[in-house]
Amino acid sequence: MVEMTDELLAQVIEDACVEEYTEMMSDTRTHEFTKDFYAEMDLLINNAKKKTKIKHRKKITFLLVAAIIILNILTVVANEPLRIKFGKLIGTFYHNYIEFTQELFDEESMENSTFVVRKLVYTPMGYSLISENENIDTMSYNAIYTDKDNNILDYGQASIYNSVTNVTIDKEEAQKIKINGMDAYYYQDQEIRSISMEQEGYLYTLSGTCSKAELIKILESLDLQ
Amino acid sequence: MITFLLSIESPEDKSKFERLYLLYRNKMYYVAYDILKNSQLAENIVHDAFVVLIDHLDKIEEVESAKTWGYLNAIVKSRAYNYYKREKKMSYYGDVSEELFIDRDEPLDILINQDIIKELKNIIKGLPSPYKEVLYLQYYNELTGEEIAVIMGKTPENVRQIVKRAKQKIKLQLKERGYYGGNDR
Repeated sequence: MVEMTDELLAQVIEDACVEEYTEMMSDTRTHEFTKDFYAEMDLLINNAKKKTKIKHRKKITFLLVAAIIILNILTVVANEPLRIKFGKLIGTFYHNYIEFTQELFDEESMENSTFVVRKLVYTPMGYSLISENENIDTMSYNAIYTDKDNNILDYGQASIYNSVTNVTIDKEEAQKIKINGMDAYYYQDQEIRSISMEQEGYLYTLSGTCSKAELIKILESLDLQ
Repeated sequence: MITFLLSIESPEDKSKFERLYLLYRNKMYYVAYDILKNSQLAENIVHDAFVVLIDHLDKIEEVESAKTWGYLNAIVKSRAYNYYKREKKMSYYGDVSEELFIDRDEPLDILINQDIIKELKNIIKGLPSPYKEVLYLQYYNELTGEEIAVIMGKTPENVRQIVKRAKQKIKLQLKERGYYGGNDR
């Protein structure tokens, strides 16, 4: 005999629900809906599509803005005095920012090293790769994945020597977390969750609408050590 | 990159909403029809259910899943019964807050074995509306009382009482079948 816990009740309820679903799906009855019903539903479906498109455009806009900012910063950091000023500017204007310093690695060895792309090993079920860009000159790599509901997963690897060293956060403060024992930073802007981490002179950033746990799982699949 | 980003949404991609509509409209219709016994009213209820659903699409993870059907089923049934109650002026489960409740503990507070689990599943499947739907939404869909209240057109307090009453019904039926041996507090 065992105690009837809420967890056990939840399990029994899940079994009952799945059984009912199977029974329901085997019901093949079809109803001939009226023209009025179809007309009203067409309107609803169009409204739903518009809402989805607006939501989707917001996500794209966010990612585009992020990409443009990174591209602009790549230009700025090519000039060392500008790079220093720009870094200070970000630090001055934004209350919350994360700094990935360049002192952690040897620039000379970085310049002479071969750029090894660390691609994602694991992606959540349903996501497929739709865009992949590798730039040997800037030692950067970017991959975008999406699923059937247009959720986006944006992954980037960039040399700190060539790229931005500050990540700004508008609202909530970043949380320091661990990915395979390495320091990483989790932050969220509306529905877009991101994790950034620095390892061996590279900045790895993963953004998407999936959960924090899922983002961590994806980054943990990278072999960075 | 811009080209790639803009190509994400292809015209062939059916929206989640449309896929739900195509897969479940007939099932939803017959749920409503079984309650109202009127084709036109059942169609209206299905339409109303989709109107509610459009603002809660984020609660749907997979289109083809028991969780999703539980969610849609609850919306349709609650609307059909609300209509029935309103038109027929009959007492319906929506008035549970008016019933006399014995303030019992929330947990079922019983000892069970595998035989009881099988019996318990049958009891749960046989619970009348809205007890079964609310239990499904709370325990399987993991919705909060507030979320359940919104989609079922009830108050959170009403939902809480429905859950409590559902557990009392389960306990009573287990007792009637000779399985319940816990404290009948």
